[in-house]
Amino acid sequence: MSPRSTRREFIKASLAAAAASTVGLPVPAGALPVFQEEGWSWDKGVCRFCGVGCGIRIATKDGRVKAVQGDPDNPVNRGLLCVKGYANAEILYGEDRLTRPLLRMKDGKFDKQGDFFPVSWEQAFDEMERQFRRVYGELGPTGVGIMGSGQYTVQEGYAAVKLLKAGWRSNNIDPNARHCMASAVAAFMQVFGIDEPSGNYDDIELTDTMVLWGANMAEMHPMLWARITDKRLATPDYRIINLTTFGNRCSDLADVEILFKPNTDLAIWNYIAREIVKTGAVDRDFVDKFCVFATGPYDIGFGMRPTDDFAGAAERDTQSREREVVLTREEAIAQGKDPGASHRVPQDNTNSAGKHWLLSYEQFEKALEPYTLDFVAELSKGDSEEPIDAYQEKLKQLADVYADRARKVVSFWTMGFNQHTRGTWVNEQAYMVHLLTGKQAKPGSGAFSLTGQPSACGTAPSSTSSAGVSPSGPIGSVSVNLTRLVGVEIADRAAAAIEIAFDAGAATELVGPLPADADFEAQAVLCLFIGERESGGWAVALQSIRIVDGQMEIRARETAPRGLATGGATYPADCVLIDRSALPVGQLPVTSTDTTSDEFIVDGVIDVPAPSGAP
Amino acid sequence: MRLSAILVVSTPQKLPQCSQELEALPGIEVYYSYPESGRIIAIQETQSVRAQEENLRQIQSLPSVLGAQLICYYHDADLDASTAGIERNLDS
Repeated sequence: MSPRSTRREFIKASLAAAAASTVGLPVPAGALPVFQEEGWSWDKGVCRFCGVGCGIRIATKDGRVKAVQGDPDNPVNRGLLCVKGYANAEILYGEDRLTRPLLRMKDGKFDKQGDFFPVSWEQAFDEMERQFRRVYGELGPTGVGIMGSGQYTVQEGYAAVKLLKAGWRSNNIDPNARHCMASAVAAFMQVFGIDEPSGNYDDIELTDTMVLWGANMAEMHPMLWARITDKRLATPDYRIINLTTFGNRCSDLADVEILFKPNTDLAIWNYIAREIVKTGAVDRDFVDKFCVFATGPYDIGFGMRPTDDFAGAAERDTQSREREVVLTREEAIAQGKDPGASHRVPQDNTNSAGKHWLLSYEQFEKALEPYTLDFVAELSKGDSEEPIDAYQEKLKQLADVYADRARKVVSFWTMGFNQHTRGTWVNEQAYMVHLLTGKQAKPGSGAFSLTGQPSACGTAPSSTSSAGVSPSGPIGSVSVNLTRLVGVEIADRAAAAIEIAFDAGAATELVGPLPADADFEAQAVLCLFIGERESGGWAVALQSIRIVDGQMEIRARETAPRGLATGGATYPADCVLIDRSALPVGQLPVTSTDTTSDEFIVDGVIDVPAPSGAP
Repeated sequence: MRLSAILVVSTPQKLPQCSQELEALPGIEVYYSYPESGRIIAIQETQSVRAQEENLRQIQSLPSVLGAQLICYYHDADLDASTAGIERNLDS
């Protein structure tokens, strides 16, 4: 054996032994479980190629990657990696990899119509600076923006926000969570009031039923699928149901494969809910304690422009329904209308799709009535070869696992739901069924929106890389003992109030009384600032203040950080001073409703002092 | 030379078949078999990235295989020579 092949055999043996010990398999005595060569330096990171968030270890020597290993200490992937994890090394040396900036140029100068030419980093940064200054000079902070990535690390997202909001004083940043998961976010907000996926990967091991709704996890979230595979093989009673529009690799392991027609998953959820209601499987204690029933308008259009001037060929069919929808026979049945008649429904709520109102349980039950097994099976069956009886049997099994009180259930989905024509609705329906049966927010049970990229949400709430979102979520009110602020300048009071509020943890109400010498405007500004912490604060241009039913409504536009919270006293130019004489004296509650746009209203209580000289 | 250690998950019943199917693939060596849990640690040797990924897909699509994941991965110094050409292209 040549020395070279001896070394090769040695490396192979140590690779195999390291692999076995990484995944907890016994290694034969004498094998060396050490995966290390002289001069290697190991670092930790997170794989960015899907939404799982696997830990990886990378060995480098002389500035080049020498080896990659799943991080055995990482609770997500526990030492395993998939083919995408591999690529973390190879991608650095791939043939397509850009290793230097390319600039569009004509005659040696930047030109948008020119071709790409390699340039130095210095030249690239100079050109970016020139263009940035030009646009910023013309349009100011609103003229620049950042499209963030779901592959930002949290730290990178934080740096981007700091540059944009604190440096460029703009609010134009939106992360991946608003690009690919917008519908999931809207559903989180509608159902839970906060933009965060619920559930925990440990539910994979804690549950006994896994339902995949269009999520091809075997190929798209391989490491989570590896955990499901392990659990399924070790647990005879563990069941996997794979709902999908085409046969995929998850079906190899699934106990039941349900092939359905695209878009009919909404009907399937309603069928499940109907079965749960009919069979008395509703967890009344849970529902009474934690839930209300609500619904919203269905004439909401499709989020497209009213004309087809900008529509591409592929979207014209959807665009044509933007203003008016002619119901299909099935839609008429589902809405309790005569299926024989023609129903033209004007789309009146295209600008108010988030509107909602409460329902009684009886109204909820009645709305589910059309979604019988026969109706839904006929509507949703995706494989024309499959006998209807066999398909109905599968739908029954599906409803049974949700209805069975003895079973825990995890429902996983990804972009099959989120990038659906009715993505928000179908997300909400998943929560509906889990909440109805009390199978939510419990170990081993939950409706779980998997993300497509590892920091889709991490960068949004954690580093506030969204327009109009504060680090701690939607702006609310906090409890601050404002008497501690006596004798402090107005701007410093604002800063101090914020610090005190956050030192105290997330409190829920702004309480007075304000110091006697407090300026009323300072009080309003205080209210509007509360909720900010990390970025150094937002400047807020007050737009209107009015009294509605004894409550004060403050409307304000977030403009840019102006140093108010950090001690400066500069007010935005368009700040409206308040006419105190128009306000009733005493404590005034402040209402809050909307935090989704850049216009927002904040909760709190403001003391309106009596005008000086009054008794 | 690219070496990778792969965890292949099969079932205890299908493990012998799985071993045979793996050994029949070019560049694959079965290192350890675990009959009780239906698992195998295999070493894959390839020359190109494409072959590496293609082989893993082949393993995953074997009838006896439920899943296959990479655990460790190793580059030989030869890699530097193979990527030098890419850098030359960019320079030109």
